[in-house]
Amino acid sequence: MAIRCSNCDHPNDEGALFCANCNHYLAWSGAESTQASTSAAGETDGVPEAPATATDTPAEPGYDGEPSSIDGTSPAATDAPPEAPVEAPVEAHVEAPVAAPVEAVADLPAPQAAMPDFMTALDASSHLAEGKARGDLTERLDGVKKLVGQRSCTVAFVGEFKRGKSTLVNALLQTAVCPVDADIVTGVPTLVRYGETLQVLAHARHPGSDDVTTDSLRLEDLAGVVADGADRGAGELFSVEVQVRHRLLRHGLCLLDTPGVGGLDSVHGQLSLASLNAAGGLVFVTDASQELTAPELDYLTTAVGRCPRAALVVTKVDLHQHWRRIVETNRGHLQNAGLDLPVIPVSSFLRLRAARQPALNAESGFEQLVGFLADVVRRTTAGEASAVAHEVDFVTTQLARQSDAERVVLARPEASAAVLDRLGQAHQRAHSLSAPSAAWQQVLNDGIQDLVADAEYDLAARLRTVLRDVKDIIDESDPKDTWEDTQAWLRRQVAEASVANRDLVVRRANQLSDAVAEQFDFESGAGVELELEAVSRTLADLEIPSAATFSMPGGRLGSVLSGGRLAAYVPLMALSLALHTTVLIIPPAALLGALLGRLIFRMESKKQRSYRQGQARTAAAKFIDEIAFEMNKDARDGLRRTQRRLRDEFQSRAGSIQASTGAALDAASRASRLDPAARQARAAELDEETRQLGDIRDHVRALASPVTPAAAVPVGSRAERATGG
Amino acid sequence: MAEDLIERIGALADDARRTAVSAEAVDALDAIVGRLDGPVRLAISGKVKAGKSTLLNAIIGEGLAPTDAGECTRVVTWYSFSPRPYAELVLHDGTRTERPYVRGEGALEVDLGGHSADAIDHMEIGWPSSRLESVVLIDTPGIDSISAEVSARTHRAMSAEGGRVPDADAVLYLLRHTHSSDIRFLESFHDDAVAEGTPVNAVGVLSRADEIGSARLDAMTVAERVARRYRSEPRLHRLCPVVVPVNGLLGYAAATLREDEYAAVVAIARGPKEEISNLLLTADRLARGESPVGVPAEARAGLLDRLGLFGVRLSVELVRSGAVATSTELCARLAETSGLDHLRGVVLRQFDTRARVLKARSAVTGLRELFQRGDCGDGDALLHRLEQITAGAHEFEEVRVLLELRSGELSINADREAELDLLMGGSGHAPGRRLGLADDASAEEIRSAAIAALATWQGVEQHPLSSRATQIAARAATRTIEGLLVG
Repeated sequence: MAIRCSNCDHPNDEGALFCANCNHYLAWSGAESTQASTSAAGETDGVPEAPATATDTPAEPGYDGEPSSIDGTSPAATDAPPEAPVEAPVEAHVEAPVAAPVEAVADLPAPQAAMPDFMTALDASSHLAEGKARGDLTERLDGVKKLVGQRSCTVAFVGEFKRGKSTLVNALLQTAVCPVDADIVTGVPTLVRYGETLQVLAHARHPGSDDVTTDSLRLEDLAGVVADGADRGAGELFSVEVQVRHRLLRHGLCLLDTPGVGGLDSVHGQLSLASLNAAGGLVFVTDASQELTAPELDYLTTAVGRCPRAALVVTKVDLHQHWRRIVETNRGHLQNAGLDLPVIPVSSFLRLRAARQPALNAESGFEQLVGFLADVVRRTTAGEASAVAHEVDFVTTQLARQSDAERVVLARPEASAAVLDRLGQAHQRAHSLSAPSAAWQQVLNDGIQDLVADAEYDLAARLRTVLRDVKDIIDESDPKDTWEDTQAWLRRQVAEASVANRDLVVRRANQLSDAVAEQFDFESGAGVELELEAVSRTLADLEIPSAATFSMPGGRLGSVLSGGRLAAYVPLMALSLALHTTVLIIPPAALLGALLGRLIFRMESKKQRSYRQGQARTAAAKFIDEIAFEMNKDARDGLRRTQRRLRDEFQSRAGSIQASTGAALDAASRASRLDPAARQARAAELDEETRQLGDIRDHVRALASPVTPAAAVPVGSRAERATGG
Repeated sequence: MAEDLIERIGALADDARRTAVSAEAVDALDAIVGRLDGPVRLAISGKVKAGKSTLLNAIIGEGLAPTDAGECTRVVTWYSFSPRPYAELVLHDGTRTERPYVRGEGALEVDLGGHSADAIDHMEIGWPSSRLESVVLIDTPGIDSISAEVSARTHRAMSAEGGRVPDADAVLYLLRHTHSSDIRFLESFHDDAVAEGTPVNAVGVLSRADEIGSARLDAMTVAERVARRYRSEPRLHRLCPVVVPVNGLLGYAAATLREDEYAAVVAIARGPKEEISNLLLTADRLARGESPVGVPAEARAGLLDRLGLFGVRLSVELVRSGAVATSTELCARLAETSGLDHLRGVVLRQFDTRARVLKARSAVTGLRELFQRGDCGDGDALLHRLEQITAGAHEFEEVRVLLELRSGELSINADREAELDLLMGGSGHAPGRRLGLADDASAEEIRSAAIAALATWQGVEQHPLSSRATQIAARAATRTIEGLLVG
């Protein structure tokens, strides 16, 4: 069966990864076409593929097979990367289809599995909620839909200097988004993501204030800005964001080009590590000129611990004859280190040329890399699918309550008094759940206060150790000779302490949201659910069982937890960027250099040594003080945001539960007053409704079941979302 | 001048030998004297796979050191001149054993005889090569190696542990790209017992220079740009003020290019233009691809091994454009492009004279330790004589000033700084060089320049606002100039 390219409609051989005509990545095509056919069987229209950028927003130009070139120019025929920062239009027509290596195909996800369609379920349950006039629930589902639309999956490109990270990103997109140079190295992280129009945003922070300014740049100016050591004006640049309209990125994939790590103990190395918590995938970049070195392997091991979906990419295979041996050696090193990663040899040079000659794609080795990225996106999507499934589960449970209560009253009119009584009690309890005195509120408030105190204490303890060590170092030597090294050392230590502290905050915030969810679940479960269960049990002998008796894998607790996390979702990188700011914004050189002028360095007299040491100690203490101040403020702000977000989230849930019990009470008492004929009709209606709810839940359960909730959401990213923003 | 100094130190060592109290002390003294008389020891050091062995082969002009795409130099190896070729293992306990070797594919393969690399201190290769007569080359395993033990061996060779005089007099440090771990390593070298920090005996070599520019034809120009930036980087400048881009592989090939290889280059260059660019697109295509040019893939792979992708691209371009017409011409162009000639010039200029001073310094350090330990009879008297020698040695003073100047400890205005660096022999010890004149300057020119410089530095020395350190440096400068004038 030929795979038809969704971009240019060219039929390609089965197993081909890129369109032989237009160079489009075909796995996306497969996903799109298959999804379209399955959902066509459903009742919804215009939902061709669920997790694509929200289909109800006009976010998909060029989606329906229109050639998506913005301008018609072909890249200049030079060895340089194409100038045009848009999807490079390809005019060369190659007769032979791209022959894909068999192993690469095996590594690819089946396109059908890539995008489970939970949009259908979202729409269906939203429809039902609307019918029941439950505005709170439709609002909740709308929020979920919006988040699914914004969903992104960041893949970080990490490696030593000059291994070709920026070139690799450029080659992937076949456009020149990241500035590359033989000599200059990238100095700030660059995030490349999808955008309707080309946009370059520079995020900078100004010393002495909280303001983050975002300036729009021209792409031509980017090179001057991201270069290491470049003059960046008054503000301290901490990240650059490039939005490009590119097919590869349309499904939420973001590429993060990081500065060279320079070893595990460097500042950039630590910060890159910190950003990995928020990343969906890791591409570790090394080149074919040599095998992995000890620092690289150390770094990789640590990095994989934080972001297990990783690949080792060996670049520059076009330059080295013996790259196969290097790749094999690297495989051996990985094996010895106990790392099970794919090793992908690529040639960015060929891939860039492939913009004009798609036949070169096979030779460039990028098929496997794109396959890996597709896999990362697929897995992240699957994780989010499970979270969405739990959200749908929550909504349908609420809806089922109302109809269950009504059905019980209709089926057993004689018991209606008792049922109404129980529902009244449940309503009462649901009411107390949303009161400020509810126990979960206590858990949350106390927990945040504790956490703020603990975070500050932890940071103070860590920094005190650093300060003591740095004082020892200063005392042992003359700052005149060693100050530069001491500074570098101090900066590394502070970065390490900051990252460790931030890790602690994130972990604890995660635990806290678990604890709050547990308390909430306990309260609502012990109170409301028990009352309702007693009601529902009487339905057990009915033909159509209550929809509420279906339970999600992971149970009801899982439902609340994942739902809470999804709602607490914030754009990726928010937290790690905050850390970048804090540690990088205070360059010790500036702070310390002002104190220890050149003049003092020049003083030769031995008497001056202790004076210099004193100066150095003061400078170090001041630097650490400054860092502590900024870090504490960041942590406190972040935790307050977390507190507010968690409170709002559970408050709205409590509201929904209260509304459900209220509606159930009303419906039951209304049903108890119906005449027998009306009862018959109403019971039939309710059976139909229950069946629909059951269908939705079955569907959702099937979607979520391949991935268990625990494994679904990447560790760290949950708390990332809870704390950041 | 330096010869005098070496003679006096040698005489002192002889006297000490007569009163030595133990056999170990005698051995130690012998070692010091041997070192003093022997050729300068130049270590080639750098990160793993920086191209150390390739550079060594290029300098010797013979493929002695094994090179490989993987990490291959596992043992510190000394290459010195000997009329009779031999290979000898020196174990940690000092025992020496001569081992048989075979010369396969050009490189020496020494049978380690069951000794594990961990037990071997170093290996000594004696070879009848004229280029080894004036220098002992020390090839080291790279730092940052996966095997921690390999890295440890390198550090042992480069720096003196436990007061041992370091093996190397000077070092070529191969940089591929500066980053923190590189700079730390340079510091560890400078931290040794000879001299606390010596930017005077390190030359940075930007190796595998062709790869920086992705093997494009302008790669060496790009590399020169990078080297220039390194030189102007204050931190790096303080550690090794001279950085030279070198493509060792090309330099070695230029020294040893065979006619059949030249013929292969010519055959490729005669192919149609389209075909050439297709073939030279990637290393894989060149080594494995089917091609109508009349050179079999095997020969092309061999050529690629010898010249590298950059070398093949350059050679083909040179032949195709008619810039070279014979293999000799091609070799000359390749040697020039490789930067090896330039490096050789720098090493000769910088180290040839200074090396003897540096050796003398190494010897003084070694003797001082021996005397202080009291292993040679009357330590105090010997120490006293040693102090007399060192105090009177203007060569030491010059090196010291140069060191201070380059490490940034001496504050002096920028014009004077360059001038002083030259005077102290920073770019060579010939009188013309010291005075910043052209190499072919006449005696008269030198004399008038020296007199002018003398007035300047006397002025600096006596200026009331000059700091004490500046005064001392200026005094050294005037003394040097006086020496030049006396002849």
